Amino acid sequence: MTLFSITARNIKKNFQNYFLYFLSMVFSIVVFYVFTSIQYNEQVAQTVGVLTKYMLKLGAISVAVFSAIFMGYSNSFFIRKRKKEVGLYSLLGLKKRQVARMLFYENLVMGVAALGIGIILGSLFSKLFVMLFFRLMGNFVQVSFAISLPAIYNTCGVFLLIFVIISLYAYSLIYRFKLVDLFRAEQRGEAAPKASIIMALLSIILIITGYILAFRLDENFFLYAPTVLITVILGSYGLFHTSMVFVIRILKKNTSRYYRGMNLVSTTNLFYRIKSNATILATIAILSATAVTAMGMGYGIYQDTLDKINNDNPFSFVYWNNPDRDHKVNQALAKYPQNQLLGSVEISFISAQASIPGFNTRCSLISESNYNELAQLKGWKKVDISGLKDAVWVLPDFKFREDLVDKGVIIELEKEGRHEFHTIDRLPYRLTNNSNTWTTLILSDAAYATLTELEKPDSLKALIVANQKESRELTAEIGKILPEYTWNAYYHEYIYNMEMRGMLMFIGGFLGLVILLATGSIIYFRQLNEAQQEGHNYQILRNIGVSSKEIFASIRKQLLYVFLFPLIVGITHSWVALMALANMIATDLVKSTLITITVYTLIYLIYYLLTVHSYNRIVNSEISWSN
Amino acid sequence: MNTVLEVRNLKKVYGSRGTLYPALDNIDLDIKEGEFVGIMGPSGAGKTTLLNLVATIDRPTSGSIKVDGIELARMNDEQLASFRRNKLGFIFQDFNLLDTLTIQENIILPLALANVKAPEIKRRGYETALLLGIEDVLNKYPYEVSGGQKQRAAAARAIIHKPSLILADEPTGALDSKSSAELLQCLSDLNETYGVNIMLVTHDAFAASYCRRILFIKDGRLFTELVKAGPRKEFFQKILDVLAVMGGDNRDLI
Ligand SMILES: Nc1ncnc2c1ncn2[C@@H]1O[C@H](COP(=O)(O)OP(=O)(O)O)[C@@H](O)[C@H]1O
Ligand SMILES: [Mg+2]
Repeated sequence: MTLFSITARNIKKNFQNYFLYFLSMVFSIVVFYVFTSIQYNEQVAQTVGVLTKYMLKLGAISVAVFSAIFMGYSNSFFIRKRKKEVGLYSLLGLKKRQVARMLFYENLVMGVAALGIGIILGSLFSKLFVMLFFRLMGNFVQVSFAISLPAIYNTCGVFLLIFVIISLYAYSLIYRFKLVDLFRAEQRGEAAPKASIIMALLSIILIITGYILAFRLDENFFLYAPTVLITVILGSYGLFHTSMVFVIRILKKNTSRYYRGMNLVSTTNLFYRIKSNATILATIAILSATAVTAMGMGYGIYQDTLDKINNDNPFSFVYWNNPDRDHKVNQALAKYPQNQLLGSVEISFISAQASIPGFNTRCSLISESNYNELAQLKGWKKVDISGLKDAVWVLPDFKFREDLVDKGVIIELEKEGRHEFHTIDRLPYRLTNNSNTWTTLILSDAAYATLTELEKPDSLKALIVANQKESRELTAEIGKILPEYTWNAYYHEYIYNMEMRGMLMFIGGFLGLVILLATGSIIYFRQLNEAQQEGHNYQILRNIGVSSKEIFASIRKQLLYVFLFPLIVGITHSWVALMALANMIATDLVKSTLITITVYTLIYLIYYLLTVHSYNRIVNSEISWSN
Repeated sequence: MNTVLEVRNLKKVYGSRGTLYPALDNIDLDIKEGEFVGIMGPSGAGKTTLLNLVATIDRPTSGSIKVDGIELARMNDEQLASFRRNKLGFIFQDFNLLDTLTIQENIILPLALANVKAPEIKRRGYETALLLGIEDVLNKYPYEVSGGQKQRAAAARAIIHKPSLILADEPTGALDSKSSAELLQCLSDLNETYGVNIMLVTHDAFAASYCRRILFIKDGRLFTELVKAGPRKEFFQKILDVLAVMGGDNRDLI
């Protein structure tokens, strides 16, 4: 039997354990490949800006670094788990060098297989991913299928390097083993585990401090941001290392519950599990928080962007009006039936200075009937201004202050004098895309007519066309007709914003998924490893008459806590992070955060079920016991 | 007197197609209320197999086993688990204590599983520990106590729920001679003072000499039976005589 055939057999035998590890490796490779191949995609190169390319590169590097850490951790774990096996080979006379080489091969074979599969999957789906990328950036682009050779070279290069480093690391681990260590059974059981109340309180105080500072980031970002990270991370590790001891101790105090059925076994097992896994669980909580934050942020900003673009740009086109331009624009519109004109409105307004004590702004004045015409087209709330001296604000949300309503407002025209009005209401819109109309006062028709006699109004034309998100050619054509700075197009704003946000969503989403899969797989094989160690204990329980059903229930319960605890901490962290972020960039992230958390929890749930199933299969397999 | 255990025509064949290996053949066995029965025989004779069948950890090829008049063959897995939990107590060679539980928690485990009330669990846990002389180590973990104490803890766990039958498989196998003698004395006292029914499997003549009746098994069949009459030393000598007649290498027995 050659070393290589032993290797092959080992991989086959351990496949169950390796499966999820392998899966997340493949996924990391696919994501890396996709990030890289998008950078080299020609269509992408023509469309996106430098920043997007830079961010994609950063995303790819993050995936690579994270994969390296994940694989390194997994490997040190696999090797510890296989100490006995390694010891056995050594006893059978295999030299350390040979054993190490065998593990090196194992690693390499799996790595190369993962690389091959990852690149094949990446290539197969790259068209899909590039399309998704464009789609997220608001473009429906037909993408041709192309295998990107530079991306393949890049991916192979980076991951082969990672594999070699990891394999060398594994190699060195073996060399450091002493034969006695390899056979020494891991001792379990612990007398009165220490838990200092001070440490637990300190952890909680650290986390809360971090949370509070997170909401005051705008006060001193460069001091608070690192402080938040450090306090929350330290606090989380502290929490996992100390708090469980308390919880379990309290559980144990309540003997009438603790002494009921399998609780005795479940509680103590859970205690050891959480204790021996505290560091890894805390790490998973923090990684989950990172992943949820990345995904929530990407998704939230993306969602918010669409709403924001739509609110900020209520019309497809807005231009300074004159008959000649109207004529040319209509000609252009006729050429693009897919962007058929859905409606248009002419807006007549007077620019003025408006002031309320403590508030002074440029604004536009518009008549009630003109506004209602526009509101009719947009489906907005109409107004009815009866008083000659009454006025209604049209202001987007973020500018709004309660004290602007029910106030006397002084209007100063360019040429002629001051006029006083009384504000009776406020509508939360941006009147048109044109910045002159971002702050508007609606006056009664009669009042407006009086003012037009004092000052000649300006005129804007606002159009709504069908499929404005796909009005690239039409917009380009209009750009040729109208002089620069005399017009605004929805499409321009849309493309500019969507590229940024789409890219954030794309990268954030995939990074989040990579982390999610990796953490899920780490919990999975940690737990399975413990299942193997604990098989004997469950055998004892079955012997003394605990049924398979009861054991299954106990396992479900224990694992639920193991999965739930980091998930809850992670979600809480990311919730705070996202709310703090929303606070800082004045964006509503609640809905997207909830959706992200739900999705994350669902995927996590799948890992939980998978782990329960495998765990149960290991410890609850048919009875095989003999002396 | 009631019959606690009734075994009839018991047969166990290991292996499948081609390589069939009969580990037990045509075994009849009765244990009555208050008995302390030893099962002796050389290594590989089928003692553990017999015990496992009675313990319902393994299923017989044919034959019948009744405990308290209940036929085991007709029970499903769920019923068997509950049967083991309520009617049987186990002591194994390698203790089989849960290493995550303290000695006290290990002992009371059967009561917790039976949903006995917490105050009663505590009381009976302490009483049983007192009976076996391990009340001082109750709050320690298995790895902190000696082999003898571990095995007495296992014995305490086996008797705490007052089972119909205690099954012990080579309980002294991992103990030094002093701890062995102490444990065996405990078992003997439990039997004599409290009428606990015990079936003890061993290949050690010294351990067997604490029993009141011994069944000898050889190659999966009953060989002979010996009943204690007189002091233990004398009984021990008789056991050695039987073993000599049974043949086989004596070294194999110790
Ligand atoms: N699960 C099994 N499968 C096959 N053969 C077994 C199995 N268990 C025990 N045996 C065989 O049955 C015989 C009796 O074993 P056992 O009851 O353990 O003997 P003892 O406990 O008396 O030493 C031995 O020859 C053993 O090899
Ligand atoms: Mg045996």
